[in-house]
Amino acid sequence: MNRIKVLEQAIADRIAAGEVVERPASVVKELVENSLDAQATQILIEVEGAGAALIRVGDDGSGIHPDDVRLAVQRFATSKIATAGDLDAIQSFGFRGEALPSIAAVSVMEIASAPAGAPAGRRLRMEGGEIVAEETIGMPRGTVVTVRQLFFNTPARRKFLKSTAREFSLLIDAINRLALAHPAVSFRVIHEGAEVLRYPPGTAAERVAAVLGEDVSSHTLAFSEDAGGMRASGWLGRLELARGNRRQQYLFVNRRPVHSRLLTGAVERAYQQLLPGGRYPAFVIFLEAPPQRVDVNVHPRKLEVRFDDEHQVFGAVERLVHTVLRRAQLIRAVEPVTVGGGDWLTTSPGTLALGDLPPAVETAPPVEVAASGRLPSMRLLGQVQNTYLVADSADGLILIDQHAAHERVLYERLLRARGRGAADGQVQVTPTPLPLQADAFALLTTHQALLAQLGFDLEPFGDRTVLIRAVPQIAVRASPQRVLADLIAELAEGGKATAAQTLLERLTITTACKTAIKAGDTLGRDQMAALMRDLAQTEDPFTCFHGRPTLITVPLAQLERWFLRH
Amino acid sequence: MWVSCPQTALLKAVQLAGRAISTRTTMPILGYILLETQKDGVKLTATDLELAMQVEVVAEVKQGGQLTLPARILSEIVGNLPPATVEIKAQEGSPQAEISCEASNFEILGLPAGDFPTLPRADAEAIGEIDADVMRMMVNQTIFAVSADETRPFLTGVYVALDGAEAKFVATDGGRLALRKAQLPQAARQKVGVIVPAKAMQELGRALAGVEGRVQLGMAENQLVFIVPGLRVYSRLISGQFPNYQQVIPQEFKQRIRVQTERLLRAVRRASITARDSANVVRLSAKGKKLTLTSNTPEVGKAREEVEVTAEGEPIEAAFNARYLMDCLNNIEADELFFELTGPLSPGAIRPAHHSDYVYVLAPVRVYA
Repeated sequence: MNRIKVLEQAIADRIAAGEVVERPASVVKELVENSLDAQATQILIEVEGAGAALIRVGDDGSGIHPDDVRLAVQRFATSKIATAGDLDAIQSFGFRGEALPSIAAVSVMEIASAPAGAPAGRRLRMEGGEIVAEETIGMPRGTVVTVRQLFFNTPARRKFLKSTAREFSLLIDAINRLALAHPAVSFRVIHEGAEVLRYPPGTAAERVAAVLGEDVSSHTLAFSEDAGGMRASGWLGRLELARGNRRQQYLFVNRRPVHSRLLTGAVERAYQQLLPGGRYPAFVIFLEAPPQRVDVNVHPRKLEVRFDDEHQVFGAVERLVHTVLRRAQLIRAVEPVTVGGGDWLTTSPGTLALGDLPPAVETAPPVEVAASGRLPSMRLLGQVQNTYLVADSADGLILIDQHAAHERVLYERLLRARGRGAADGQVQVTPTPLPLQADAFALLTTHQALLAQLGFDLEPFGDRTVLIRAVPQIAVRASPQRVLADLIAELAEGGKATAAQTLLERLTITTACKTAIKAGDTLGRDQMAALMRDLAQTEDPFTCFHGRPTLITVPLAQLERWFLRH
Repeated sequence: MWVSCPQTALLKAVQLAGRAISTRTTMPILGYILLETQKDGVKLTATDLELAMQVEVVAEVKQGGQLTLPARILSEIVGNLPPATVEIKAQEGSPQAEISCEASNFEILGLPAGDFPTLPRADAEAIGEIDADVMRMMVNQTIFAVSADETRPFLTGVYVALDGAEAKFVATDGGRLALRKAQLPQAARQKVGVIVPAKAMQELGRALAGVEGRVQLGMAENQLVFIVPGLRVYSRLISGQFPNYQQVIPQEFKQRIRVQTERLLRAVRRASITARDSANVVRLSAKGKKLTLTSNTPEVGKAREEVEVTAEGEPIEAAFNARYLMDCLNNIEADELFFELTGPLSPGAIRPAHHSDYVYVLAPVRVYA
């Protein structure tokens, strides 16, 4: 029988290390956070073998007193808090006093540090958590921590490391997140002897441009607002930046990079309907909350945060993002920018003199549509494939999906009408009988009241037929039977489909979708102009409610690139 | 083939025939106009297989024959020639034609004339005839009520019925119905009731502008043919049963408003400005000598206008689609009309004050708020 015994210190440290030090990226994160807590203005990170062979983080921060260096590598030794009360108002990154001992426990670590004004610094060398050497050395102010042979004594952990490329990209991601929050601090990363990254000190906007790339940051909406007792600022990615994953979402609470299902959920809720399913928005959001309202001591690596009133925070963030998105012009740009790379595209644009073009031959003059709502002024040039409208604007060429655009117009019109009670219904000169299957008949008759809100007036006639007495006013040019057939299908889905939308909401969407101008419908000039004017009046002119874009612009600069006019 | 004719006449014919050309065709030959010589003229034919237009031009025929020429090029060439004599010449069997006028000369490639679809024989069963002027009015007063609903194809055309000495054109899209009657100069030779696609009726109405005399109607191989001197319009028919329109026309009313057409039209047009976004709904209510029109879109604004009328019967307030009203008022061709109402949710009827050949039934809009 195995008796219970208290673990040896070395083993306990290795277990504790597992929570903090998961992979090279977490080592870098802990060390850089220490540098930032030490008020460093320059941080140099050297890496070999994606961090498995070597990680060295050097800074020009306040340094550690020579006599305290030994303490720094002891568990729960920290300079960052002193009393339990401080835990409630944490301003620094570190506070648990866990990072250095944890790293030391699973590597060969060297720490050298000198505070300002000290004649010399102190260097400790440790192997698997044991101090093996200590000496006084001459060095400038600051701290340098060198971590070699990470996980040399925990082979299981080493085995779980991913490919070098993957670990390196996680490591860079960790640095990027911290660099975003600290634009005044300069960052350099050297990998295998070559400089791979350099962020000079600058403004927050400059740092975002440096980290995300100019071509990404130029597709964002900057904001800075008060939200529910918190200060929120940052950049929301325009719709074209949305991706199939969440890697381009950067969230900070009190300058601390965090993951938060709550906050991400709130932001994505505000983007709902603007993006198709499975696409996630890009954003950089900084929340400044009073320390009493947030708990960062949830997870050893402090990746998660909790708020005192999650419901209130969710609402505030959603409203904020909604407001920022709704006041912007969100026409999608063609050729969605790629994150990183593609530098050959960003050459300075030339100018295109429209006056040089020969006059068009025998075409009707374009329809001028004045700027209205959130749409710019444009000249409608015509229709492509009876599906897309083409317009010229100051920003470039605008392409409009006629179906998606009309869908948006009708949807909002129905919503407004529903808000007033019910949508207007065009009474029929004579009721149209619609013979149905028994199940469809049952669905229509049970949901008569819902359908009435959309403008339908249906009356059961016998046990298998309904009389269509009135159809939604917006559907008079469409086929009421076809709209009803789709509504029946939607009703058959019942409550089991997407919970986020109520049945009425789905019926509204279906009615608008089936009633709207379709791809392939020829539009006259007046119809095109009316469609654009109506679209400009909508609250969300840039996407249909399925999240597909209604408009796309081909910026002038893009046209110039295509035509090689540099 | 070798013919010569005046540029003005040729241009008119090319443009008229060209109306049948579809821009969305997949068969190349349908983009061409067939030219065939006749005794003392040339016949131009174009078709999209639903509708065919055949136009005759008086010409001097030096050598008989036939050829096809691309409609758009031909129309552009003839349109840009001076008003002088145009000569068209082609070797028998050659697809190439020479078009010349004064000092201009074109050589244009056509397609083999044998590839052009054949039309039904024009001398098929004659049914009856209608005055061209009357027929144009019948088309204009019904065509706008045709439905665009492809799931009910029988509503996408105008119902043309000839019975005894009476002709009827009827169209409906469910929300309204337009019926125009006319007396035939002579009783029809047979009773017919067919649905003619909207496009054919539209082109017919357009082609009849300025035409005098009578239009002869004929049936040939399930096509209806409209014949006036120098022009034949062939149209495919829509199969299906046209709804029983008789029962739709209200036989009585509760309130009758007599109003000047132009005044009502202007008032509706103005009221519709603030109705556009809310389903284009204009509300009407009349009492004594006053008809009040109102419209209201909460997001835009509202309008109110009073029109001098004579109203009899019990006051009824009803809301109508302004578009439906204007379609009728724009085409009724009567100075004064009766607007008969039976209830806020029952169809009303508009009739000219001075004759009973036209009735326009329109159902109200059920309005909430």
